[in-house]
Amino acid sequence: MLKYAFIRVLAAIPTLFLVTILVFFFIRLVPGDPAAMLVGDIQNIGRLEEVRSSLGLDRTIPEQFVIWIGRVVQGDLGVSMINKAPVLETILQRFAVTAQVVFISVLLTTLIAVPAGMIAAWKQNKPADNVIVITSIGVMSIPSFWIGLTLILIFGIKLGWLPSIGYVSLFEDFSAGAVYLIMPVIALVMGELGGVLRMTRASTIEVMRRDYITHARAKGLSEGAVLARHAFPNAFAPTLTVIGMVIGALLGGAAVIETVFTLPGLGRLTIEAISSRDYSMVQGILLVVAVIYVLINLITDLLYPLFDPRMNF
Amino acid sequence: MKYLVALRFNALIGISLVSIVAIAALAGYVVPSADPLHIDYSAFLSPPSPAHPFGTDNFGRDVLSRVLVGAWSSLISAFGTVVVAVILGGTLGAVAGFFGGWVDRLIGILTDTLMAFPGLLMALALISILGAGIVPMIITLGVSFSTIFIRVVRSLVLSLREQEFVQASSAMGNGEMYTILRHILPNCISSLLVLATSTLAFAILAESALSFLGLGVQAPNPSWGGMLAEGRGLMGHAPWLVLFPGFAIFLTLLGINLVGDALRDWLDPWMESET
Repeated sequence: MLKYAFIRVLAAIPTLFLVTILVFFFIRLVPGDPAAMLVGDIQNIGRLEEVRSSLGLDRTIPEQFVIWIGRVVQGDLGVSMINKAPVLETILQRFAVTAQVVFISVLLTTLIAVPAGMIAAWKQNKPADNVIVITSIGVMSIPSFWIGLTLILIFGIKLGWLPSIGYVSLFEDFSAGAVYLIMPVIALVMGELGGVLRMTRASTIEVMRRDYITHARAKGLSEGAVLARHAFPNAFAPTLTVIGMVIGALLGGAAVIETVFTLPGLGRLTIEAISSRDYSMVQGILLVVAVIYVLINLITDLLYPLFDPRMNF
Repeated sequence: MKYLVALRFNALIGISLVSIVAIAALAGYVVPSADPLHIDYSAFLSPPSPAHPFGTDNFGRDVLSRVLVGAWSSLISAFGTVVVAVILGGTLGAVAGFFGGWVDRLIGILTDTLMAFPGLLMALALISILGAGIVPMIITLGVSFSTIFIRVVRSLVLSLREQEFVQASSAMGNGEMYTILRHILPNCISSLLVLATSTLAFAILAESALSFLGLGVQAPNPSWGGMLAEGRGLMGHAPWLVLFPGFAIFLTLLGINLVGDALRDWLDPWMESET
């Protein structure tokens, strides 16, 4: 298993390298540069040149890339070109916010969607299944940011029960932090619920017609035991893949929900960094997000054998 | 049998919803009921009334006609996205699956690279290079949704390649392109259709999210996402500004998802035996 993990990490290196090269050159293709943002007056050529050379932007792009990658392999992502904040620290700080919202949401989504999907599969084509399937299609059709706006409108503005904007870290003040997280978490859970539920239902239906399920029933196990001991472990692997993909997508791309609830997360940092042409910050974010994505894929694959011992490495 | 009736019923609702949205989009495009860009300061932020069934926004523009025109831009960009994704992903996937070897590996690395970029981040980066607007958005979303088509078509082609009728075609001396187009492609169509329908729903969601962030359709042109973004600050006084565009997105997605679901049940042989 360790060998497998090691090979997987090695195999990810070309991908990561390609991602970094693409990001590095792409962001420099965008019109405008950090020097222009800092100086403000693009007529002031002398001052622009001065700032460019202080940021190292007067060198050729391949030179800049070699210098940057040389520092990255030593674990140094540099400082923001706009406000000199250390890139890695800023990213981790913002990532902590996104991660709190995303992990709570995904945990809740799983706890609701997996049992509901299994019940739907168990009662396939019966009224309970129809209700669950129709509800999941309905939920899938509501954009999560619209749910967010509607929640703010009802519970934030009209009723005044919950704060509409802002954020307090759960680790600093748990109860205050939880109050700020309620609405973003509900919006994200409703956004992701449908996909996970449908995957669970589909893979459970597939499993339920296998011989070992018939066998388990024939030997007199209760339906609950058949579902929990035999159907669940076999049906969970594909669902796990979907959950991994959801986590990966949300960690990098919860930007819309972060915008709706003005959460200082990674998605908003990305938008800010791109719009201020903060090259070092954008490069850092995309590198970190790509690494997280590769790690999450690896972790999901390594978790498979826990549920399905037939798989080994 | 009962399930079949329920299924048909769902499909019927889905098809009706999609048709309503499509007709509304056409109507909004061909005969705008009121100019969606017409600014009328005497009637700004007025609640829904017979003259303005969905109310007006902070410039006095008619929300109903903006929602209708928004339907047009939403549907066009979603269809455009799916077309780009199917053509790009289908071609790369078929090539990778059919030829294998280093071509397959190269396309594999490309797909992994694209997938390691979360969609929204890639959209942000590409759109800041290409500029915001409908065409850059279609290209961006099309490229990022193409990865799933690459994977699916590749695996379909891999399994089809081993089938006797494909090998017979090659043995008869047919060219590779002929075999792909004549024998492999027709066998991929039902899976592609199901995938394309669900991608259409995702594309509408992504389009509205990008326009909400100000990266898609540009103001003053109406789009559902853009209307939500504009109405956001005023929704305490004028909830209709966020309710109607959001409801339009919901109905469209509901229609597409219902149709997609019915298509999957109908075309997926493994579900067929259930009904």
